[in-house]
Amino acid sequence: MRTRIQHTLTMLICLAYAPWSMAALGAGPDSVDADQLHFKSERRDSVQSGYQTHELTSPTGTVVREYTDATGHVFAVSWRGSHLPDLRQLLGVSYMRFTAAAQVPHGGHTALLVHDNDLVIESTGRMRSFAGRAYLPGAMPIGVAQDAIH
Amino acid sequence: MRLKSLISLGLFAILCGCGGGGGGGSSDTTTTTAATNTACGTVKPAVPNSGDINVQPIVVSASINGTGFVNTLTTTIKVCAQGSLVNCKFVSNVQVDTGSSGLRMPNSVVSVLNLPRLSGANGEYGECVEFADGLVWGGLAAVDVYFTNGAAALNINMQVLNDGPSAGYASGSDGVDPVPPAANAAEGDPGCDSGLEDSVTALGANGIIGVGLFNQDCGTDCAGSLVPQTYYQCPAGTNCLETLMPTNIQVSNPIIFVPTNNNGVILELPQISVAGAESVNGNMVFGIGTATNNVLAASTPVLAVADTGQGAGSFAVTYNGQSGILGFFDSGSSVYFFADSSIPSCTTNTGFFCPSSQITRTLTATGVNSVGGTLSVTLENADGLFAANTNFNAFNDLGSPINSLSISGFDLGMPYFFGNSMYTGFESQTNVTPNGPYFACAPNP
Repeated sequence: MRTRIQHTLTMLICLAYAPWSMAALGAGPDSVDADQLHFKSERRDSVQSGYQTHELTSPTGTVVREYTDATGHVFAVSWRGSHLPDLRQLLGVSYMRFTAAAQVPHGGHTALLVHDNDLVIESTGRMRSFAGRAYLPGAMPIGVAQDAIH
Repeated sequence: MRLKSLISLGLFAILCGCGGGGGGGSSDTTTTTAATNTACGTVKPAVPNSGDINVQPIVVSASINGTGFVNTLTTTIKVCAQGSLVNCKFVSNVQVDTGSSGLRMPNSVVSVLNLPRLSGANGEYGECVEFADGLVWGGLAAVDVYFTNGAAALNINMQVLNDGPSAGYASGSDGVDPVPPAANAAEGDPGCDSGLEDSVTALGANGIIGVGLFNQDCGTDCAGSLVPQTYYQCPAGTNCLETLMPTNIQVSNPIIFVPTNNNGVILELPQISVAGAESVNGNMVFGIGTATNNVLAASTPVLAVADTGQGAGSFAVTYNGQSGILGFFDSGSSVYFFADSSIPSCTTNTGFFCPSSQITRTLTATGVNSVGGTLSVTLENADGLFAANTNFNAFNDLGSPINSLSISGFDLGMPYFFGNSMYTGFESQTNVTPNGPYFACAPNP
C-alpha cells in the first residue's frame, strides 16, 4: 500500500512536471514533442540519410533543431536566434555540464565551450544574435559528421 | 596557476595557464599584422588630447582576479545615485564591451549607494540578461555616470546584478533586488536560471559598460511583445511575471546619453609585441565625426551590419572558401574565435590555438552595404606565450578554436584591437553613410 501511494505520488509529480523535466539532448522519442510544447513552437520535421531533424520555431523567432536517430533518440541539438532558447530544457542532463563550465572562472560571456569526448557544447553569441549546438559524439549515427549539425 | 581546460571565453578575458610547458617559440621582435587589411582604412584619426571631454582612458592590465585572465579591457567611471553629486562611487576595472549594450554591476560594487530599484505598476522590475554562457539577473536603478574628463550620462537605467543570497533575493524593499523568476508554465516562461555569473569574481570585473552597436540591450523586441528570459515585473512575495518594456526605460548604452559626441565610439590601443605586454593604455573616444579627434576618413571602408534578424550586428565573412559566415569585432572577446582544423590546439592551455610558429590567416569581410575587403589575423603558440612571460596580460595573437564557422561565425576579438582605431557606429545614427549600426577600422593614432 505504502509503495503504491509513493508510486502514485511519483506519477503525479512526474505528470505535473512533465513538460519541464523532459530533456531534449540524450532523451527519447517523446522529448521532441515535449520541447515543441515547452517552446510553444511551430514544428517542421524532415528525414535525412540516417537521421531526422525536427525544427522548432518559437514565437520570438528562435529556431531550435533537434536531431534524432533511427530509434528516435536525440543525439544533437542546435539553436539560433535573437534570444537564447531555454538551455536547461534543451540540454537536458547535459545542462549540468554547461553550468559547471560556466562556474569555472572563465573568459567571458561571448562563448561557452565544452569539448569533451562524450559531449560537445558550443554556445556563442552576443546580445540580439545567439547560436550554438550540442551533441553527443558517442551517440552520432554512423556516417553522420559533426558538420551536419548546424 | 595551471589551466585544465579553457572552458569559455569571450566578453571578458581568458584564462591563461601560466607556468605551462613547452610550445612554440615566441620571438621578441615587434611586428604588426601587416599583410592585407584592405577592409580597414589607412588614415589615422588625430591623436586625442588627454583632457578632451570626449576622451576616456582605457587599459588592458592585470585582471581584478589576478593572474589568469588576459586581454581584459577596462576603464574607471564614477557612478552616482541619480540626481546626487555626493552619493557617488568611483568604480575601476569596469569592462569595456562593444558586444553588449548597457551598464551592469554586481550589487556588492554599488550597494554603498543604496540605489532605489525601479518599479512598474506590478512591482519592481527585474531583468534576465542572456549571455552565451548563461543568464544574469538583477534589478534596475537610475544613476548618473561621470567619465574622466567631465562628460556625463545622466539619469540612465543600469542593471544591478544579484551576486549572492546574502546580497539580495528578498523581494520588495528598496535597494534589494527581487528573486529571480521560477519557471512559469502558464506563460511558457523558463524562469531565469541565473546566479552563476553575477559576482565580481565570475565577471572578472567590477561591472560591464556595454558600448555596443545597439541603443538598448533588448530593443523593440521587448517593447512590443513578451519575451522569455528578458524583462519582468515582480509583485512582492510572488513569482515575477514577464513584462513589456518600453525602450526608453530599458538598460541602454550609456554613450547615447552623452551630449554631442553620442553616435558611436572609437577604441584606440597601440600595437604591442607579438610576445605580448604587461599592460597597455589607450583611449575610448566618444562620437564619430563629431569633433576633430574622432574623424572617420572618407577613404575608410564602413562595414554596415544588419540591425535585426539572425545576422544582427554582423558583417559577412568568407574564410577558407566558406562564405556566408557571420563576422564581427568585439572588445569583450579576449581572443579570436573561429574554426580552422588545420591549426593545432594547445596541449597545456587547451582551448587555445597553438601553431608551431607564428601564422597569419586572411579573411574577407563585407558589410551589408557591400563594402569590404580583407582582414588578416596573426596567431602565436599560446603555450609558448604564456610560459615565456607569466606576468603579461595583453596579447595580439591569441585564438580559440570553435568547430563550426556556420554556427558560431568568426569573432574578431581583442587581439585585433591592438594597433588599430576600432569604430563602433550606433544604430539609427545618420551622420555617416551608411547609417548605423556599422563597424570601421583604421590605424591607431
